[in-house]
Order: sequence, then C-alpha cells, then structure tokens
Amino acid sequence: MKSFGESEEKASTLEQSALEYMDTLFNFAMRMTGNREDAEDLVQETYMKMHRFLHTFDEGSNLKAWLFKILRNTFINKYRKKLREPQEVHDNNDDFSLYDTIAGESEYDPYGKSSFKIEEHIEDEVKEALENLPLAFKEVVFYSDLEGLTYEEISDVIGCPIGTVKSRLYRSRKLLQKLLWEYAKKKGYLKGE
Amino acid sequence: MTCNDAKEMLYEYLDNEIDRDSYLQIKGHIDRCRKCCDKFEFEQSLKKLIKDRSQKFTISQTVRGDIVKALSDMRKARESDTKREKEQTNEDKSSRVIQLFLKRPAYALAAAFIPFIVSGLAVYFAFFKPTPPSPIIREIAECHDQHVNGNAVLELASSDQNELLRHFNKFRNFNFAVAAPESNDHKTKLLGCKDCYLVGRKSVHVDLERKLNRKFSLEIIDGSGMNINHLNEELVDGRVYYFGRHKGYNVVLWREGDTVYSLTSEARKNELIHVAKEGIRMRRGMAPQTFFPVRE
Repeated sequence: MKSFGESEEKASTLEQSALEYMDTLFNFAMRMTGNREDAEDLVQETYMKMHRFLHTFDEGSNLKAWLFKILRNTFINKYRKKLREPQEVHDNNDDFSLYDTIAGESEYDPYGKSSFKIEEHIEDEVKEALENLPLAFKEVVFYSDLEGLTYEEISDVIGCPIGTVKSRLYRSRKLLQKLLWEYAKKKGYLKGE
Repeated sequence: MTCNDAKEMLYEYLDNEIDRDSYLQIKGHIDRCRKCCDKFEFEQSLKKLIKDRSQKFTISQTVRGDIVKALSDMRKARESDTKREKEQTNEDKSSRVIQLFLKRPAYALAAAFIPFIVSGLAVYFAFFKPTPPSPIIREIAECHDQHVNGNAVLELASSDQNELLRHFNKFRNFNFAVAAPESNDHKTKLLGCKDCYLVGRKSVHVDLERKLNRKFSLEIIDGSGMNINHLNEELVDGRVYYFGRHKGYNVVLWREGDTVYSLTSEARKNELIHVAKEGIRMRRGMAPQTFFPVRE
C-alpha cells in the first residue's frame, strides 16, 4: 500500500494541474450550455467530482481529456441532453466543400497568380457557425480544432470508436463549412448565386 | 497517389493523425498538384481560423476563487479525517491489547517478564558471553582429554618417585630446564609421564591422580618468550595464576622462570590452584646420584 503522505501529495499536484484547465473547461461548458450561469455550475461540479474521483485517474492518460469527460457526462446527466449525431444532416451535406463552392462562385482560377485568402471572405461568421452546430458536432470540432485532442483522446471522451470520431469530425467540418457559407452569403460578404 | 486519395486523407493529414509514410506520400502529391495544394492550404487556414476566431470565454474571478477554496477546504478536511482515522485505529489496537490482558491475567504476567528476560539476555551477552578459549587452553584441554579417555600412551607408567626422577633426567636432553614433580601430600599420586609438544613447544606431560580416582594432567612447557598474559588471571598468595576453560575442563597455569606449568582437570579452579600449591612440588637440579645404578 502506498503511504498516505505520498498519495496525498500526488493528488494535490494533480489538483493543481487540473486548476490550470479551468478556463478551457469553462469555454467548453459555455459552448454546451450557452449561458454563463449554467457553465459556471458545470465547471464547479466538474471540479468537485474530480476531487472525489481523483484516485481513479490513470496517471498515464491525459488529464485534460479526463476532465472533459467528467464535464461532458455531468452536462448530459444534468440537462438530459443526448449528444448523438442529428440524422437529417447526413443527407445532403456530406459532399459540401467550402473551398469548391467559393472557388466556383468567385470564378477562381486555380492556376492564377493570386492565392485564395480565406480571411478575406469570412470573418465573424466563424463564431456564429460554430454556435449553431448541433452539440454532437460542436463538441468534436471543439476537441479537435480548438483544444488539439488526438482522435484517440476524443474517442475516450465521447466513448465512441476512432472510426466514429473520424466520420463525425468529417461531417461536422462539412456542416460548419456549409453554415459559414450561408452566413457569409446572407451578410453579403460573398456574392452568392 | 491521385487527387481523390489525397482528398480522402485530407483531415487526418491536417489533424496529424497519419503515419510517416502516408504523410510523405500526401506531401509529395501536394507539392506536385497545384489544385490539391490550394485546397489543403485552404482547409488548413480554415482550421486555424476556427481556432483563432472562435470566442474565448473566461470564468469569472469569483467563481474561480470559490472553486479553488472549495478544493483546498475539501483537501484539508480529508487530510484531518484520515489523520483522525489513523489515530482511531491506533487507539483501537491498544484498547484491544488491554482487553486481552484483562481477560487473561496470565498473559499480562508473562508480558511483564519480557523486559526482565530481554535485559537479562542483554547483560549476559554484553558481559558473560564465553569468549572462545585461547589456543594454549584448547591444546592443554585436548591433551588432558586424550589422557583421561585412554587415547594417549604414557612413555613411563609408574608411580615410583625414583623411576620418574630418572626418566626426567632423560628429558633434560630436551634442552630446557625440566624440574621433576613430586607428590607433596599423601592425597596426590603421580601415574607416569611422557614428552610431547604443546603449542609448538617442547613439554612434558605428567598424569596425576587425587582421591576418588580424579585424574589431573600436569604439563611442563618450555615457556621462554611465551606470552600467557592475555588469559584471565588471579593473584593467590602472591603468585599469579592464569586460567581458562575448554571442553568442560578447567585449566590453571602459572609460570616459574622460563617454564610454564599447567594443571588440568574437571575439578573447580580453586581446587586446581590448591593442588598446584600444596599437592605437588618441583625438584630442581639433577637427581641425586644414588638414584642412578652405581657403576663399579
């Protein structure tokens, strides 16, 4: 049996490292709940659970991913949300490519001199598009593009095989691109149709 | 690799989720294919754009403080809980021991003796532990043991004083001053003698018998330059006697000039010293002429 002092010290170090992820967790909670109050509650609950279950944490694994998992499960239980892929988006978005669309719309010359600058075409739409993604898509984009988790870590957090992670990420990105396109078009930044 | 192959691996490539070989293949294709290059660059900047332009929320300082405080409070509480639990178990243990002793007084009595036994053993090992006998004591005791058990043969087996004296004159050729022992009281009887070597020195062995057939061995050893001062010693009537014990025999030694004498037997040390003092005496010098056959 490990000595009490030793395991206690380890737990205390882990807690200190966990506190560094508070803003990251809050960011994630904000995206899931959409309001500060609920997000703060979620983060608070996540840390209390972490404290209670710290002894079950496998030291070789990613602490950040473990915290996401706690927060995610707390969120699901608390708000009775189902983080499953919406069925309807499967149908017509799979092949959408923002690049192809923009390139086509703006009569883009692939062999011309001017390179395509995405920043010139979309600005604030990113926030809006990300906000309006279904939760199941929003979270994988968040894990991968914003937090840089690996496919394996994501698969651990959402409890799905890596293949599912890949396809869900693919669909999420396609849908995000479509939303970006639509918002940009609506606001007239891009001359559409 | 075709453009479609590259397109299929697009996101794994951007997410750093492919092995080195595939990476190099795709990289090679992109470098050659302008269309794919643009597409990959577009997707890459889009990925970066999503990260950069997405809103960053920060938790309020109040909530942050609350969480930090709650965690530290809980940790402190847990620490003191565990400490109390530990003390509790210690108390439990000691009270259980007391219960056991109350139920069985004999155990308590036995336990009370433990310190005495332990300290007794400690004193014994510190002060009375028998030291291994010195080589000279060991050899003398072994020699006595052999004679007592009949494993050694005397050169001259005789109680006749004159015969012994004559034999001792022969030993003088040994080149060390051998004084011939004589019985000094009626209780001591000489049984015979033989020459031998003890601790590598010339010596003479004499068998003695006292009342009740008690066997003694007298050794007369060439003690020139021999050191027996390391043995335990005792001063009796102004003379130093050294003694040791081996194989259940007591050995008493004393020195006269360059000669070392020893007396060995099962008898107690004091009796040995008594025999050495009173039972035997040493006759110095040549035996009187009369003991030798008169030559015409």
